[in-house]
Amino acid sequence: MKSIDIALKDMLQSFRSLFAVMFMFVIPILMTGMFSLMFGGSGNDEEGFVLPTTKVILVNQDEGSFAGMPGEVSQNPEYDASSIGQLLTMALTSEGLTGIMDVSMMDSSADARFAVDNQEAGVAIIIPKNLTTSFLAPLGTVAVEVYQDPTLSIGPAIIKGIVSQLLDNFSASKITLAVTLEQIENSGQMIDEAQIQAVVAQYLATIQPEGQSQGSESANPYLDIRAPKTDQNSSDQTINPVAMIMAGMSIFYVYLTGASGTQTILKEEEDGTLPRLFSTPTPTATILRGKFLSVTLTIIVQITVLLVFGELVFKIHWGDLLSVALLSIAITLSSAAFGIFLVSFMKSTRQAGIMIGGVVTILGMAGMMPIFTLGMPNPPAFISIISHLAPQGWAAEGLQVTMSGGVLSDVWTNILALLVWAVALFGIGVYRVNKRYK
Amino acid sequence: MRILNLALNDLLQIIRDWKSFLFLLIMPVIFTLVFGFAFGGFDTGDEEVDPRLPVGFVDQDQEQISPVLFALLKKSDAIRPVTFEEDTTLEELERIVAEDELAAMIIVPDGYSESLPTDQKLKLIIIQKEATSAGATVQNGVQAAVNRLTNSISAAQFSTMIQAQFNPFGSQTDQDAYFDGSLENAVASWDAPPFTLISTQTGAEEERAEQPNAFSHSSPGMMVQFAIAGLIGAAGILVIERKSGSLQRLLTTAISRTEILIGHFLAMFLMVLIQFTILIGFAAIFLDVGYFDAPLATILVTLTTALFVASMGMLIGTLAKSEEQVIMYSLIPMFILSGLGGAWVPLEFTSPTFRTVGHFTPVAWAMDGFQNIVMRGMGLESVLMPAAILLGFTAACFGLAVWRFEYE
Repeated sequence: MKSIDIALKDMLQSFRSLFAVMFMFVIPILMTGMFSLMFGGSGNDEEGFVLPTTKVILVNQDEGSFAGMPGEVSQNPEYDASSIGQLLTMALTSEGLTGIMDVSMMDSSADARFAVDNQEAGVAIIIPKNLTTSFLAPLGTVAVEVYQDPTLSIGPAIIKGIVSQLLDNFSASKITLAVTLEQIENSGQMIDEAQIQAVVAQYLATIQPEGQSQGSESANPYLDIRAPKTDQNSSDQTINPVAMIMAGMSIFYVYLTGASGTQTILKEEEDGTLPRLFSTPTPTATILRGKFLSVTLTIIVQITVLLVFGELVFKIHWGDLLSVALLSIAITLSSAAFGIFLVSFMKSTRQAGIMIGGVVTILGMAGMMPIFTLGMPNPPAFISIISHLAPQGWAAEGLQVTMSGGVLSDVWTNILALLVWAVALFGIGVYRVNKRYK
Repeated sequence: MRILNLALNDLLQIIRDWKSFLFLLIMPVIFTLVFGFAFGGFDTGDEEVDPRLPVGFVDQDQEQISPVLFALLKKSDAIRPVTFEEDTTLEELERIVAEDELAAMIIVPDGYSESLPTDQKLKLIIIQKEATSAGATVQNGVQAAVNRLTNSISAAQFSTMIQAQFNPFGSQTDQDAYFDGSLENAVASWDAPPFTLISTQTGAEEERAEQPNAFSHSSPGMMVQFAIAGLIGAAGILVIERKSGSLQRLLTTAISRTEILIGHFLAMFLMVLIQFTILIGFAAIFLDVGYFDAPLATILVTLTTALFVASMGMLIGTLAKSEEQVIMYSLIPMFILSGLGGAWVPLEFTSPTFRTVGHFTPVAWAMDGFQNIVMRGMGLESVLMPAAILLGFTAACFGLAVWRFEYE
């Protein structure tokens, strides 16, 4: 009964404090709301990751001309470009690529590099002087330079992929001719220069101008891209940043509540109410139980409000009700125990600032590592290991699983792990507090 | 002199607490390493550690072309094919992608080889999550390999046709053998294609290594974040001073309010400056981050960032009424500014709106300043704008702190 009295008194104090209410409810919601606006949608939006449009500067220095090519090609009216450099320029500025790159032209490669250095563009594509000449020559290689801002990765990677594919098309022509002539030679047959020219002319007459083929087809002729069908309707949320941020924020602030809630032990000690309580026939265990109960009930209210708010306002589907409820209880118990554990290492409220702020931030960041690396193509395995070193990591993973349609059998390890954390942290905390106040 | 005494007293209080070291120095180092590794730090050169994106490869065709495609995919710089049995169910393949065990699944449909030389080409089936950067990478990598495959087939067809013109084949077997030889030759030619792309980038990064140094992002990011987080202790001193009555006692002495403010500000500034100096030294020496490439620029960005953080600390210290509030007023800006400013994840991974809003925060400008030096290899001129903006934020925060302190 005394424990309940202590718990009720502490809870009343908590909810009367504007500071506590702000911390528990308003801040996590506001922060999620802010990030939601920044990402441009709510939890059930399917926007996900948006490929960036990269500013590209194109420098075409190609001095060669198709005039040197065999008659059938140089006189073909379909070739409205006069060089390979021009074909490449036409392809890169075609309508099909406007969402991916925003291309502007420059004459000087030095100016283009300067513009990239000054962040006026993300990438400069520099076509060399001898591109067409190399195309016409039987041997030799030539390179197109892609100069990029080193702080960017996705945009330049996409641009490089596109330029590579266009260059591959030119390479294909040379490879075809080289293979044809080499195979004839390997078969023991001798052919003269005139025959070679005839083969080249025959080949060039069959190929389609590159510049006109790019961007002309809306559907990919070679690939059939499909999204994985799963039984869960909400699986997209696993990659939805807003849903994951809400989950992360809720977990971070729940553990912060656990830590700052139990701080009342120190406050009461400094205010003299704790020694007064000890002078009454109230065992330390009863006082601790009361504090633990108070924090537990406060966190239950907090987590319930945050989850319901997320569901109603941000349209986040947390998943199977039973799994989420049990997970929430496990999170609550582990965060309350985390508070007792943390407070047992502090001597005064003065120490509490850096201890609570520091430990909650560090463990929170470690646990949220998978959320930080959400958009990464190939996150390293150690990210998962690090996140599991903190209870916050098990909690975040659990919510991620339920959001992606997981049921109790999928999250029971997370629930169990959180309960083990709770028992371990509570045990150590109680032992240390008992020792101090003996 | 009084100002110095006050500043030294504050610094002593911070330094005496061992937890300050943990929070101000050890943790930023640990998180610099963690974030750096997460975003691809330390290219160990270990061939067993393949950085390419793993994708499943299911050959339902089992004809001559699919092994050629597999060989071309293996040469990709972006993706690494992992074979699966052809009888693996579609549900299982979809589950593997849905649960992120692999980035994508490439299925070569039955009849694919036969269809390629015809006008009715079958498409490769790619199972991948939509609108993800991993998906875009896979699509690029597969498209490149398929293009090379179809071009190789075209080359073999043309070669066979020409040979038939010069010297007609005696039998279909001879023709097939000739086609196979040409195809093999064409595929091998892609090892060193005649037209290539060279990728270059500015200054420091290129000189240091071919692969970007991921610590060049995580080092300034974590440094700035933990400088803000460190304000919990520093700003707390002001609160404790007020609560314990020391401030009132100080005000009865000859020291002025301005001197008290400057003293505390100096302490915070020196604390952050020492923190930055140690962390910059560590990153430059042990992680090969190019802070020393442009020493003057580094000094300017460091000083202006430290000034901003100290002024924010002053504002927190004057606004907070309790230690609890110091935690709140420090952690909330830390999260908001670090997140929006790109200290955790490069802003290019976020939406365009996010990127724009991010530059309303001082952290984004501090990051720009440091990245101009360590990633773009630029000098003093490139950091003048970020430094000026950081000074603007400093003036705003310090002005508010003074106003608040005077009001009090």
